[in-house]
Amino acid sequence: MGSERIPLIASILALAWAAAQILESGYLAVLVATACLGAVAGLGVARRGSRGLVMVLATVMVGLATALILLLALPADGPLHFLVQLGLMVTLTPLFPAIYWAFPPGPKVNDEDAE
Amino acid sequence: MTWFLVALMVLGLAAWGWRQAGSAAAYFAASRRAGPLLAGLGGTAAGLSAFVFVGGPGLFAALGAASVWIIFSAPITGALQCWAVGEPIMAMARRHRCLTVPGLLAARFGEGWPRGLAAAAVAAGGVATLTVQIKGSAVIGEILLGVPGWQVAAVAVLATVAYTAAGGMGAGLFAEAIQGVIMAGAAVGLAVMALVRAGGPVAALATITQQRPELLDPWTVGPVTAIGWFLLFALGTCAQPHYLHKFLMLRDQASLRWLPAVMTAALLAVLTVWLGVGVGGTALWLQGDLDLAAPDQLAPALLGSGPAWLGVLGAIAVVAAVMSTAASLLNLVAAAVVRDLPRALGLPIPQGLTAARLATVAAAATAGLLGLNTQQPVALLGILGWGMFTAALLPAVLLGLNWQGAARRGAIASLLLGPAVQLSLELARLAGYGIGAWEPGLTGAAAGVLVLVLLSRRVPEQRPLAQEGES
Repeated sequence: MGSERIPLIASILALAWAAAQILESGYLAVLVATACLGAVAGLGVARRGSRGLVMVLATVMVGLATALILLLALPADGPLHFLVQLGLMVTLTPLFPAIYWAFPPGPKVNDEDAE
Repeated sequence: MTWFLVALMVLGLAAWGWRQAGSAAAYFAASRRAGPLLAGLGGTAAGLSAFVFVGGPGLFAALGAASVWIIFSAPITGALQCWAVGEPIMAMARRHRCLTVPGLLAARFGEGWPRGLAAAAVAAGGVATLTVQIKGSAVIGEILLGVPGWQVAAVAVLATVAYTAAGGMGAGLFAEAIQGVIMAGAAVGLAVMALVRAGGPVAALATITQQRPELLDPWTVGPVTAIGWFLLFALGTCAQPHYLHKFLMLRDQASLRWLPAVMTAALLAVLTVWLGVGVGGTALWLQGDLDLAAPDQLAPALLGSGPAWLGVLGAIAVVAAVMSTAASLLNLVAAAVVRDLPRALGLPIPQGLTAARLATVAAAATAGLLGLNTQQPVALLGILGWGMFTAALLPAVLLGLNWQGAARRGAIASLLLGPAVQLSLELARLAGYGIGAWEPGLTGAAAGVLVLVLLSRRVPEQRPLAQEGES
């Protein structure tokens, strides 16, 4: 994301999280949490300017949000929810280190290049 | 004989560290020579306290799958830290020769208040976290080893102080990496043992499903609270000084590429104890094979009910967790007290490392006295840990290092408002006022973000990057 968008996105997410807490809305909380994580990861993406990384991360974060919303929507029945929760952790475990490894920081990464 | 060998190893490490620590960079940043394996293992060990071994399984027995949200972010945090803060920290550390997290904020926002407030947060939060660690090691040592708790705590703290005061992070990081390997091995062993004793994971889950099915529902604490824990522990890793400190020790940017893999593997290995002992131990408890007065006694009861070596393995893992966390915190507190606070106040920085070594000993003594002599303050000080670091440092670190428009006045306001909001909510909760789904650390960080953005946008300000470096 461009530097000028950072304060806007950060403010919207901070207010959206407050709204999720006030409304006690689990669905909003899931959307805000995954958007937050995507935005924070996006700080590194912006430094690389890689469209491929944007697509990969967006896919993963949308997948995570969808899975969490389904987990929230479906009625609890036996160990299924717990197993899905563990399954998500197992899936994500190799994914994030692999994505980071596949899109390494460039040679000129510094705090000014991020702008 | 065992104690003699341990003492010999500690003294050897302290002597080696003393010889290596010839400068402030060597003492506070391990000479900036750490590779991904050392920094990843050390960082993970420092970040995981004894709570993972003791409180985690107990929390599973009490809350079930809902407790897993606390560790749900573990696969993400390694990469997230590198993307969001690791890369800019390394760039700033190279350019400004920063040795500490408050030093980074001073380089970004100018000297004075930013460095001073960050140093105060690190010193207060560091001593508080140390206090809780010492108290925890005393309780667990007494249960698992059958010796007075203060003796276990004293041995663990004295050993850590010996090599940390002598060698700083040069010795501390090396010890943390070894402790990380010990913690990971012990965690996997304890998890497997617990599940095998419960008849295997399928049988353990069947027992829980039959007797307490609500424990397998991840949303029993409420969805917002559950997701709040997930988010707090995911974003919070970008604001914990003992995590950020490791980026100041890395030798080069190429090391970053492997860091998430090392951190994630080590983290997940240690966290198997939360799930394995949690699921297996809860099943044994529900079958009547373990007698607990309260769910939080699960881990000590399980370890104490097996063969003697099991209790020793558990105690070794807990002591390793305590020592690794303590080493980093002692070094951070010492740096805050002898470098950052004097510099923020415009006072001269003590030359040499004597003051840092004395500050390390003083920090350990203060935390030791608090941990062993008081009850209520420990519970109160416990709230100054993860949540306070997140509320105080996340806005200034995350936005400050990534957004050029972040202004000094906004950073100062966020460093004040974030912890104020977090502490107010925590104190309200402790006083019995219902705060609903409001997560104190996240709410403090959100308030800090808003005030930082608001004050940065209202009045344009030049970016006051400090020019003087730290050597």
